[in-house]
Amino acid sequence: MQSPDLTPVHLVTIIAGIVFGPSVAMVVGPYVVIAICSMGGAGVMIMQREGDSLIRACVYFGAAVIFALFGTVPLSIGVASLWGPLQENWLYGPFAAGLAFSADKWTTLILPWAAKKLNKFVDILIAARGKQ
Amino acid sequence: MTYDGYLPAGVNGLLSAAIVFICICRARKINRTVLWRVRVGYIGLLMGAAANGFSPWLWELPSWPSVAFAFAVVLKLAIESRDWRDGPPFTSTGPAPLGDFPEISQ
Repeated sequence: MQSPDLTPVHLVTIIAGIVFGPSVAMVVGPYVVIAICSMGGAGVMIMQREGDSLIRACVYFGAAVIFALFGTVPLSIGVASLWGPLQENWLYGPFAAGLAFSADKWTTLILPWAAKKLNKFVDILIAARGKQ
Repeated sequence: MTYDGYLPAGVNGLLSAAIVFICICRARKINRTVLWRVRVGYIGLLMGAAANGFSPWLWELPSWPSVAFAFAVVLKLAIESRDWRDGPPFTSTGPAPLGDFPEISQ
């Protein structure tokens, strides 16, 4: 019986064959496009921030890219379902860049703005209810 | 595919990761005074390096010439790092307002 090849080089070659193989590329391909575009958006976000330490900048960069990786596909499917001719594949790049660019602005700008609008809407509802 | 095919892909990925890291360092130091063309250049370099590093998953295994070019870019960025040590160099910022010169009284 022939003994298996146990050298580390053979092991690394087999792992690389799986990781870089076409079956993985079929699944990972769109996410690579999302990652590239989100890195562009995250870079612009880091340029706008001032006074960060290097570790803080790297953490913000990584968090923005991960945020875009998880958020882009659901958001694209949701927006593409609103209008028939629009395909979700076209939206991956712009939405990934936009989500990564806005990643550090949700807690300070976007959510308070949305809460203010919701508050106003509830006030209008209460006022309308009071008139009846 | 043999070991020879994957080694340049791995080295290429490491060098591209280094380029992305250096671009993050530069983006951290870029402030309001830096020119737009410098910012666009670094964003383009960041995205291009990411695409270069991810190229095995974009149906294109890189070979040694890609590694050579990625190494050249890392070398250039490393040589430039002296200029960026104390913030953006004056060549990347716009002209200073005349009022900043001490010879010109306000």
